[in-house]
Amino acid sequence: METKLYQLLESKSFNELNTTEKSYVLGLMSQKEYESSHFLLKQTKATFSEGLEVMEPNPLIFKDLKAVFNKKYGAKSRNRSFNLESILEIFLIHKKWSLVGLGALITIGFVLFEFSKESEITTTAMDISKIKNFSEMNKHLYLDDIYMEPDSITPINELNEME
Amino acid sequence: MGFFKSIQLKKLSDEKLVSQVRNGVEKAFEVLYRRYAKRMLFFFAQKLQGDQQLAQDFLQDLFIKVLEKLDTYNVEKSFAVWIYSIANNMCKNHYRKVGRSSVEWNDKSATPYETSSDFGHDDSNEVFLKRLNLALESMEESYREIYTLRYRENLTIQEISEFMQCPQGTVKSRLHYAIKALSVIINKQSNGN
Repeated sequence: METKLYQLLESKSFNELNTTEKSYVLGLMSQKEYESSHFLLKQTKATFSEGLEVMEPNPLIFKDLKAVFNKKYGAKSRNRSFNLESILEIFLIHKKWSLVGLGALITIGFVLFEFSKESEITTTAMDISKIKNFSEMNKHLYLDDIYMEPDSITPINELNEME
Repeated sequence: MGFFKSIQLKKLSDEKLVSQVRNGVEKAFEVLYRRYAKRMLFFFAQKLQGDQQLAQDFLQDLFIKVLEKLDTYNVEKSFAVWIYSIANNMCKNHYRKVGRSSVEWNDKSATPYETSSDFGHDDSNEVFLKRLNLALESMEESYREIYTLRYRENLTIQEISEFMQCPQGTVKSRLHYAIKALSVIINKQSNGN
């Protein structure tokens, strides 16, 4: 039996078929045969799915199975880390949101990188009045490099006194 | 996080769930169990002549076997076929132990409705089911099995072909024969009453 005929038998009654489908079906079987086969499949599915609905596994079964599971995989389960495989699976399931998330992460990363570059620039500004002597000042201004004598620098408080 | 993980797992195929179970993900095992428990219970109830208690015991044993043998399962093959094969073998072994042949137990296989009064359903379905069972009993085992696997267990043609280890073309032609024969028998029964 052809797949198309199965699909029609399982989904449509003879009256629900369109003209093309009717002519296709009638090329393979009579209307009566189609109707009785469709009724059989429809009724079988309905009856079996009704039977399936009323089936209720004993809840204790799963509790026992969990114990078996933990006995076999318990240690593995406790030690299990979030591995690359599971991340990839999540990515593949939620492709759209994963791409949005990835885009957001890249943007945030870029902004943070740019911000951190700016914050690396340190200021050389200082309150010179708080510097007590030449050696201290030399730490900041590198006076040795320009061969400056310590006497050539007059602290601001002495300047005030001189005035 | 557990909630989202559970939703993600529900979207996975059986075979991917098995991989997760092998990695020790308990939620994956729970999803797999919930996906198959009712179907397998129904399968056992049918095969064990509606014995509900025995069917529940078989269900538990089946999943214990699944956990034990999971490392031997090839994820490139259908999980449904694998689990149905284990379940089918369990029933065969059971009837071998109690001294009946597989043909005999298959011939007498009944639905849970016939032996249990627990199920509420309308008369028309009950009458139809009795007629269907009578008609199925009169058929050769391979035809009956293909029909029930397709329309009771909802296996695809490809899965049935793997389960029965025969070409898809054979499955299709047997299914075609089964549908035709069953509808004729049921029609006769209806007209006779």
